[in-house]
Formats: sequence, C-alpha cells, structure tokens
Amino acid sequence: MRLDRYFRLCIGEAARGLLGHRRTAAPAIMIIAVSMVVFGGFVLVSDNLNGMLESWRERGHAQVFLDFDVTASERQAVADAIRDSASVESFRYLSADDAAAQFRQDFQELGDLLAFLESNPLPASFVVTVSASARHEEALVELTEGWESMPGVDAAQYDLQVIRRLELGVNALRFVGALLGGAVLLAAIITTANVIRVLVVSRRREIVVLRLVGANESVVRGRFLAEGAIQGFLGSVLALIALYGIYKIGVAFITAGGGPLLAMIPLRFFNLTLFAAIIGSGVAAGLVGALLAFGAATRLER
Amino acid sequence: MIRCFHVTKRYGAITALRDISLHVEEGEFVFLTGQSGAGKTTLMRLLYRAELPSSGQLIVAGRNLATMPKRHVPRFRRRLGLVFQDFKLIEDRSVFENVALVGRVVGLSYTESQRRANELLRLVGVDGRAQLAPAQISGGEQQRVAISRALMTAPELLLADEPTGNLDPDRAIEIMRIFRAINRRGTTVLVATHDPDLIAAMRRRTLILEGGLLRTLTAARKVS
Repeated sequence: MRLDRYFRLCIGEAARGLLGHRRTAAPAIMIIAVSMVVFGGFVLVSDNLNGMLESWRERGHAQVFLDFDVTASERQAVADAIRDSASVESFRYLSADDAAAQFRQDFQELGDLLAFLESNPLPASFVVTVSASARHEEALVELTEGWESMPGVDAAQYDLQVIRRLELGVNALRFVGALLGGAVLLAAIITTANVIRVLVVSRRREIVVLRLVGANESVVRGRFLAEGAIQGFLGSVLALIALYGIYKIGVAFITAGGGPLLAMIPLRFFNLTLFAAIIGSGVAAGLVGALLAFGAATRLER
Repeated sequence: MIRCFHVTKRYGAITALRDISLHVEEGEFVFLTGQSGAGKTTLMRLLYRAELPSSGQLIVAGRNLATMPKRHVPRFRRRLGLVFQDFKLIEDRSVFENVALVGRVVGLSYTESQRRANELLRLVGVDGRAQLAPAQISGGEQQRVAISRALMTAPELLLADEPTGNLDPDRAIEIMRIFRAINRRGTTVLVATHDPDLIAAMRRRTLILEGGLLRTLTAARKVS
C-alpha cells in the first residue's frame, strides 16, 4: 500500500474513532496534558534559569571587596592593578555608600533594614568586567587570587562561582522534574493504553472483518497507533496552552517587581526545539500506550 | 482452484474433519452441505486460512495453506471473497462505507474505492440504500451488501458459509441468483448450506459432509 494512502487511512480512521468515543478518550487526553504540564513546567523553569545563568556568564563580572579600613594608597594600588591587567575590559569603583544605595534600589522591601544598623555593613568594592577572552575558570581564578593577595583587599569573587552553585540547583530541579514528569507520564501511558484497549474491544467486529477481507496487520493496528498519537498530540497541545498561560502570569509577576534576581531571568517561552520536544513526548506517550494495548487486538480472530 | 489431500482437523480429542480429499475446478459453482456440526464451517475456515489443518495438504488459489507463512495471509485473502450467515457488517458505518472501506484497507485510492463500491452496490441492487446503516435495511439487503463487499477485491474464489441461513426462502433464492451471476463472470463459488431446497433449485455439484467425513460428491443434479 502506498504510504500516503496508508497514513491518510490510519489518521482518518483514528480521528473517526476518537470522535465516536469522545468520552472514553477525553480522560487520556487530559492525563497526558497534566503530565506534560508538570514535565514541561520543569523544563520551562530550568530553561529560563539556564538562560539567566548564560547571560550571567556572558556578563563576565568579578568583584573585588575592600577592607573597611583600607587606605587611599592601598585602594589606588588595587585600582592600578586592575587597570593594568590585560584581562580587564572595564571597571568601576563602588563606594560603601553607593553599595548601600544600590541595595536599597535592588531590595526595596529590605532597604529599611540598613536604617536600623549602626553602620553600613556593605564594603566598598571594584566591579570588574573581564574581557571576553578571560571569561573562563582558569583566568578568573588567577585574576582574583592576584587581587586577593593585595593589601586592603578583603575578598575577590567572580560570577562563575555563584553560577556554578546555581547550576547545581538547576540540575537538582531538573532531576525532580524528570522524576515527577516521568511518574505522571507513566500514568498517562497506562491511561492511554486502557483507552485504546476499550476502543479495540468496542471495534472487535470491525477488526475481525478487516482481517477477513485481507487488511494487513499494519493497517489494522496502524489506526490504533494513530489514535494513541492523536491523543498524545492533543494532550501536549493542551499542555502547551496551559503552560503559556502560566508563563504569561509568571512574566506579569516578575515584571511587576519580582526582585533583582528574577529580573535577570531572560523570560522566554519554549524555543522551537523544546516546543517540538513537548509535542514529541506527548505523541510518544500516546504511541507507547497504544502499543501496550495491542494485546487485546492480537487475541481477536484472524 | 481448491485441492484438499487427506485433510484432517482435530480440536483436542474431537475430530471435526476426517481425511477429506476434494477438488473444485476454476470457474465451478459448488455446494457444500451437511447437517449442523458436520464440519462445513470448519472446512470453510480452513479454506480461508482462519485455521490450519491438523494433517493433510490444502491448496487454494495455487497456495499451499498448510505451509503459507502468517504474514502472507492478508494477501491471500484478497484473492478470496467471504460471505457469512451473520453478514459481518460494521454497524456504525453506512452500507456504502462498509463496502468502500475494504478498497481502502487493501490499498486502493479513495476515489477508486468509492467508484468500485458504487458499482458493486448497483450490481447487487442496493445502491438506493447506500447511505443507510446496516440495521436500517432488511436481512436480504444486508447479505447483498456483504456480497458486494466480498467482491471489492475482485476475488478468484467466493466462499459463502450459510449465506442464506438468516433469510426467508425468496430472499435466499435472490442471493443464489446473485452468486450464479458472479460465477458466470468467472469467479469460482463454493457455498456451504444445509438447505436442500436451495441446492435442488440451483442444480450444482454438491459435496456432502457427514460427521466430519466427505461422504458423497454428487453431480450437478437435483439433491433430495
């Protein structure tokens, strides 16, 4: 049989079957949608956090914190060392008062805390932008260790250290997402399998007739596979719609003052690859469910 | 068209067919008769490869069914037309869809399937009922639909298992006339029936099964 005729037949018959058994198929579609929301939700969050980490990494920032009792000459020596380094693109001095002002601006709800303290706890620092060629661990370690050894310097940090810690968090989130998503996906597969099994049994006469008139097994089973795939497709489309709604609410929350950390998130919905992956996972869940249900069709008369 | 050599079929301790040898030539119209439980349906099931013989050889349309791999069964069945007592129509599809679907599942184009279905429904005289559901037409009409479905693949051999079992005598004769017309177009026809009046009316060669044994092969004459 020609492939175009085969696919048209299977998809047409599957659509007909699902329309005729809407009430049976709806729970499977909903469960696939829920599992895809859980799974896709974690993917969306971790993708956005990754985006944040990427943009953070690209920024190439390091910060040299000065002692509270640093002298003017020590501070000048540190500034000279930073300026003379070939790995530094630019830098600026952030005084203790500027740091406090920055804190008040970034953390408006916590800004009043500083007023209760006897003295400003935030040290003066140099905020350094490292040149693109030095934005890797080895160069940054060398730079910051050099600055840290200078008199008047309390500590020198680079963003990569923080990024690495955050990456651990993102990976943990992904792991939890994969576990939860996997569990719900399994439930979706089992539900789909049961729905397809019901559809197979309700159409047993038709299956027997098709076999008697010489239909290949690929035709007899192809329609049920297509039914599973359509259920998965519809479930994942519903999930994407729900996720888009959740994403929009999240964007509104963040842009309405979610804080400086959240403001660093680039805020993006699924790119084409992730979009296809969500749809593909839903379709795959439906297909696996249909494959599991084939036992019922196999036992019918041939 | 059909060659059986010492075919036996057993179901556990029960022997349904015992050492059956027969032949049906291409283009013949043959009846297979016998009491209920004589083994007619078992033999028919062997002929369309729903079952395998316990022993013996069975050659249908040039294929040895005892050795034919399972994956070749669909292609083999497309060379047969099958008609059953219970019509085996799909209830949630219209008369027309019941027939046209066969064309599509065996690989014909949508247009070709529609054309053939129209033609065959016209041939058996139910084209006016094409859009109705099987439950909305009479038993005789349902059997005509089943016959047109069986003809969708232009079969070389038509096997009908008690095709008139659910019909009144007048409708049964109508169905037989359709079979005769199909036979005249070159299709070999084997009809299993326990209705002696029908066999008498048609005057065709008749194979008689009794308790799983092929007792008599009568010539084309009236059978009492």
